[in-house]
Amino acid sequence: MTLLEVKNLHTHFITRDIGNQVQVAKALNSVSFQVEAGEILGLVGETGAGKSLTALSIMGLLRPPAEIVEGAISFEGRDLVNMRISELNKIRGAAIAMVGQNPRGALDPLTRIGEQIARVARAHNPKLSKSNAATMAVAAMDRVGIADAPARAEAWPHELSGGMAQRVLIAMALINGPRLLIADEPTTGLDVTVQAQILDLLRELVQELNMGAMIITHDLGVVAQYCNRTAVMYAGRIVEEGLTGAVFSQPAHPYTQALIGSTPEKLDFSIDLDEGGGPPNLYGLPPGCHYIDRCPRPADACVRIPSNVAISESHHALCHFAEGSS
Amino acid sequence: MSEGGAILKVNNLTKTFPGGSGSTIHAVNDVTFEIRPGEILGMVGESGSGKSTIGRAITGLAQATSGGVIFRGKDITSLPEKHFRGLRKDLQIVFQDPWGALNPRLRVKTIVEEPLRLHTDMNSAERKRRVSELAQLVRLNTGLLSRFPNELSGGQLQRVCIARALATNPELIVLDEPTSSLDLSVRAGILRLLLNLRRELSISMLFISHDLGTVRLISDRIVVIYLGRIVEQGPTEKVFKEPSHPYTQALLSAHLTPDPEIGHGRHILEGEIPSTVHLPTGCFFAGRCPVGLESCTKQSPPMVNIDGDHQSACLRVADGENLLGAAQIAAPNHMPT
Repeated sequence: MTLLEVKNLHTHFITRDIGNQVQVAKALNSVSFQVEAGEILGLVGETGAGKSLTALSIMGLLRPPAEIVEGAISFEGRDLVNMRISELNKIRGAAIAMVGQNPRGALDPLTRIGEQIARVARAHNPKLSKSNAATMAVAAMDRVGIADAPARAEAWPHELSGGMAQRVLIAMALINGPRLLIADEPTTGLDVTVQAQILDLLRELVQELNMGAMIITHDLGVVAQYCNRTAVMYAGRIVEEGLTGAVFSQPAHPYTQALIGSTPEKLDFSIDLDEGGGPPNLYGLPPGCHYIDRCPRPADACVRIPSNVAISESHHALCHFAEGSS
Repeated sequence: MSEGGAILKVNNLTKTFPGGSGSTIHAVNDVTFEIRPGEILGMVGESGSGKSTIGRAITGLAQATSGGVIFRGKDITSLPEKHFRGLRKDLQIVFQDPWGALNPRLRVKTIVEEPLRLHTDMNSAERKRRVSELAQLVRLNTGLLSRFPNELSGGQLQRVCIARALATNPELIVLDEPTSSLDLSVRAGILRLLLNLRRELSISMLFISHDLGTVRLISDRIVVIYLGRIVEQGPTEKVFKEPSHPYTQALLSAHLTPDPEIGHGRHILEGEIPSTVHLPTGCFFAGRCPVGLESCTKQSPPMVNIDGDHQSACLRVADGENLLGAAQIAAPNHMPT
């Protein structure tokens, strides 16, 4: 069974303007992907592409005016979209765990870190005694590479460096034995050497515990080096998805090509996404391909929604002009 | 370029700040380097390594505690603000956060025009012409000149900051993380712009960044900083291909190349950067260095020449044991493809 399957997910922000007219921002438009146990999926895209919103939709953390208007999210075969909150609460924080960016902001400043980790264990297992939970917390801290864990469990969040705080959040995510880990920009704001340590840890945990993981990032380096599969998002759609090696060596969608050509290592002087304006307005998306206004080779066909073209068995792109490699 | 031709020389620059409860933060420790005419010098280091403080000390925005900054042969270290102002026309800075660097109540054209008012005797028509010339230079749509900063995107704002810095034809621009707060595609636009500007105008630049890919792309030479001290400097490709200092080797190996084919082994660094309040003795990196010796913690390593322009501050260069070997390499990335 597939660990996580997101199918045709539409998440919209529905508001009313000053004239009481309904305004809909189509933030996610038919997002579909899967995560299998033991693999890391990289969800990559620029600010506003809908990466974090995808994670929040899965976790059931959307707040009005955001809502899922269509689509299905199934975790181990169970539908998360229509699940009762009480049921969902048994899953999130336990079988599905999430690590966010800004780790220091995610910790309660007035609680020692060992206690915070133990709380998460006790929230899902009320029978667990405080002392057992504390022991578990120390073991989890030890597992994520925090030296001298028993002593560090007594530390306050403000005493931690960014990298250490992120390890604490990972320990917290692990404490209830998750089968799916969602990491939203887990290393943004960390220094390169620390970033590599944290990502090494995540990869090691995925392999050791046979978890599925989803790393949300805007850094193509993170995806290229750590993710088995890559999904590229643009304006609420996944425009290309495939094995990381294939997506980077044969990018089929013009946006993926432009994104790779925007990295300093492969800076392409013939394209300039910036001069073509920003991503489209979510309140008034183009009817067909969302990339039409920035695409270097738009055509008549692009006013229709492109279908997902298979480049190979495990690699597809949402472009009328993507071609199979055969 | 000859040694004497440096446009800027920084000699033994040290900067401390008062910390809490009577402690002292040693932000910059005895830093010496130079920038040559027309050259882009990249400065890399992790957060807290003192990069920005060096940039601020050069541009007179922070007072050096000791040491000197020589600009065009003139000591500007402790120049009073009154006299420094005359220099700003030739010595400009672009900051990391373009949203915070522009006065929100002024129109873009007024912002770009301001240095011309302050530093030149151009009349109004000449200034107007120069402003639209600058807009074209930084590829900013001239229609945006009469807008306010809040109407522009981050990339456009950074172009305004660059236009403002270029207005008076400066000889040196300090760029302090100019692309770090921008999205990938916008960042690429700014990088293309800077590379073009470098071709069109031969301005010297100090490019401060923690992003190794960006620094490699844009710099002629680089300086690697650790805990406010230079550990290595040299021509960019030399340093990237044959890093000498163990810290540089570890730093470069942690850089994630956006190409899954180039998955390389990584030198694992234990621990984190020590505190700038309690500096280690000897080599600052000794406590984390895989090839460190007892003696490294006792004496500060001098800068030694490796090869021409390439220098490294590591005691182990002498016995050739500075290179991290296979023993210090983590398992290579194993990407299933």
